[in-house]
Amino acid sequence: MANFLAWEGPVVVLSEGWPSWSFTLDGLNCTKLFTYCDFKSSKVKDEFLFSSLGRSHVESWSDLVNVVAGQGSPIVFMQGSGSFCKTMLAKTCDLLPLSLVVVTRSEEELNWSGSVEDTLVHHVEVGGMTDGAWSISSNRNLSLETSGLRRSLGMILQPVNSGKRMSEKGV
Amino acid sequence: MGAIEGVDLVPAGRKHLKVLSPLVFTQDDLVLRDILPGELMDAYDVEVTVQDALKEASRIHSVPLSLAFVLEAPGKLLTAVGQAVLKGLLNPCPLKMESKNDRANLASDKICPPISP
Repeated sequence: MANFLAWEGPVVVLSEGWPSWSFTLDGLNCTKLFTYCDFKSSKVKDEFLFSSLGRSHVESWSDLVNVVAGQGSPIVFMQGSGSFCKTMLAKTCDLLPLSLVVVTRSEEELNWSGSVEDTLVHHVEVGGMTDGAWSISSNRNLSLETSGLRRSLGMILQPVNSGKRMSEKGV
Repeated sequence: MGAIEGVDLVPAGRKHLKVLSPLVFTQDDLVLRDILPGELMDAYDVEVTVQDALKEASRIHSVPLSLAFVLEAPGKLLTAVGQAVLKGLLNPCPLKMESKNDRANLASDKICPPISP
């Protein structure tokens, strides 16, 4: 029988760029979702606001603190550069978080003293198809599971899109 | 960097890539072309409904997609982490974050220690 996760408490996403955490958490049935983004680009902000999760966007930090205050302690999911995450980590005490998770690119230095353990996860380890790796830090211990469904780029390339034909000799 | 093929991994963080793709109109040869935005979204595990919304926003505003998601962790990776966090809070047993090698050899009969207050 399938088990469905049903976290009913508040969840906060703090993102420097595209808030991909928000879409993932929406897919994991988190309904009390609040997204705070430091959008560097108005184009990216417009795209997010146009999406189904645009409604979760909170414009200012004070608004976020106020709206979360009445909901209980949130789980905070963070993504962005090391410097962005350090800045946000210093502010998260305002939210009285139940748990904190930080995802940064592998080359970023976080040095977060509150982290219980840090681990590097490659996309391919969880069944993905990019060569990227990301550092995961959390103030709680986690047990990551691998994915049984693995795809390859060849499975998603659209074979009805034309291009420059290559000879068999690779010219 | 040259074009990537179906067996290659997608270089993370890059919005513009050349791919060698099969083409139904040719017998054996591959064609060289730019990766499509939809293919890039698939590679980063962007859910179909989100893909549709992004494409619609691009169409309505007559601007190309920002493809900003390539600078972030892909969906499958975040889902694995998100599930671990939520399961840990919903079933609070202090499981340890395993190393890469440990994860490959996960024991199915791991005993859950008593729940701590």
